[in-house]
Amino acid sequence: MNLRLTNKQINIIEKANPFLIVSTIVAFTFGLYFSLLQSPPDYIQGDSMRIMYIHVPSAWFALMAYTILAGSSVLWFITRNPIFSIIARSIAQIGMIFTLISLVTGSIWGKPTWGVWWVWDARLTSMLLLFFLYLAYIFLWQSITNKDLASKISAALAIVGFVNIPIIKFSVDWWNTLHQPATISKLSSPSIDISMMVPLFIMTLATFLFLVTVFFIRLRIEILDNKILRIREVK
Amino acid sequence: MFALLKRDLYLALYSSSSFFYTSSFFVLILIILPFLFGTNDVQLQILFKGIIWIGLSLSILLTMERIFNADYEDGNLDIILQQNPSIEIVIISKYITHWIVYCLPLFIVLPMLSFLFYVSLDNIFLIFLNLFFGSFGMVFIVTFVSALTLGAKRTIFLKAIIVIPLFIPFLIFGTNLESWPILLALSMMSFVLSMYVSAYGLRLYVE
Amino acid sequence: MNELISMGGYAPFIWSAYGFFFITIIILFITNFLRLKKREEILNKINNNRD
Repeated sequence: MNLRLTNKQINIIEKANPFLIVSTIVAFTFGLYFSLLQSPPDYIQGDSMRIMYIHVPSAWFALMAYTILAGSSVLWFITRNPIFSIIARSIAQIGMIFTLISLVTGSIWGKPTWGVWWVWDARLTSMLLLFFLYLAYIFLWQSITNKDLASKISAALAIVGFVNIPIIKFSVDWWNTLHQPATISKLSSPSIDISMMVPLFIMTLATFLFLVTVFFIRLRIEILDNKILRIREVK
Repeated sequence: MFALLKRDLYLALYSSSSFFYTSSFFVLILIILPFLFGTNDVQLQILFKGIIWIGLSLSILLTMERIFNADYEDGNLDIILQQNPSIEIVIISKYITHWIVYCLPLFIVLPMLSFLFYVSLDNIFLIFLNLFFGSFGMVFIVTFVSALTLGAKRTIFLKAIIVIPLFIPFLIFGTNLESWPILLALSMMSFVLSMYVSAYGLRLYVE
Repeated sequence: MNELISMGGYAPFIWSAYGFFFITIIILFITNFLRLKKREEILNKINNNRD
């Protein structure tokens, strides 16, 4: 499998690592300072809404990661360039972890807000199903021992899952209008104050930097795997 | 195509699973209900609508390895694909077999079940329509997942994890009595998807 | 300082959510970093054997 990466690109991926780690730590330090100390508590929810600063970025990136997963699978089908297959499976694990984080932090946020750990709300249910879509992709990838075949098969599954997301979203929304518990009002945030925007923005940036860091590390793992494989073949 | 269909049906009916087994399975899944939840007739009617979909899902899901795996493992799939002019015909024949063997028995026992669970005749007709249009879509989905996972380790749980999220729209609309047109639309969408993906999967494994 | 820890009465929720977030991402980072180091070790070994 030829990766079709130039040495310059590999060099950039390797050199960026220490810089990315440092900037992630700096961004999280600023983010924590703003989100825990500097921003005022919400006048309805009090301090509990500070969980938003980690919950919302993880939910965004969970969705973004699936878009990248499906997008690179489509590109893989068009170009057959193995780099897209590597991007897809590098982002899958990260996306699954962020889906898990957004589910757990959302549940912890829900307890003081709604009084219960879980609400069968359309958004939460869709997120839960997204988690299982990621899980299916990763399990399928692991269960096929021929990795060349596995990348072809899991690319197809990623696209099927992506086609299915709007259908799931639509049906879950429809189901939710039937079974909406009357006592629980939806968590709405009509206007976000500027003092909340700053910590949210910094935390989103920090989470993004972290995501890129791990993503580059995974790319390097794949590049080294490829190198090791080729050396063994030559022998 | 008819030769293939005949062969598949003979194989399915003469191996372990005759019509009688599958219909007994559906009856038994539903007979558990009164033992678990008591014999309150209103409650039973509500539960009946849901559990019948669980029965249908299980019967389609648990037997999905029979669609392609047996033929793939003993090498017959190569021969079948060579003998038939196009891969699509093979796939359609597999749809029909799987539906006849694992879904049709449900519709035969459905009238009897409706007496057991005090469901009125009007409602049973609507439930019938829902199950009828939904079951096709579920068979399509299971077929393409089965074609994709031919080379995976033989674990039904892996396949269940892939299939159940895809089943959820069917289950959501299936339990609502007036939504058979939506189920029909869902089935048609999954037919298109399933044709492409199954053909893609089969070609990968056979070549 | 006390205010920071008590978080207006929501301390257990906030600290467990932040704790979960950071512990999970640190685990994600460390496992991938260790996998990278393992690959580099293997590559070094192969290169040394060649020489």
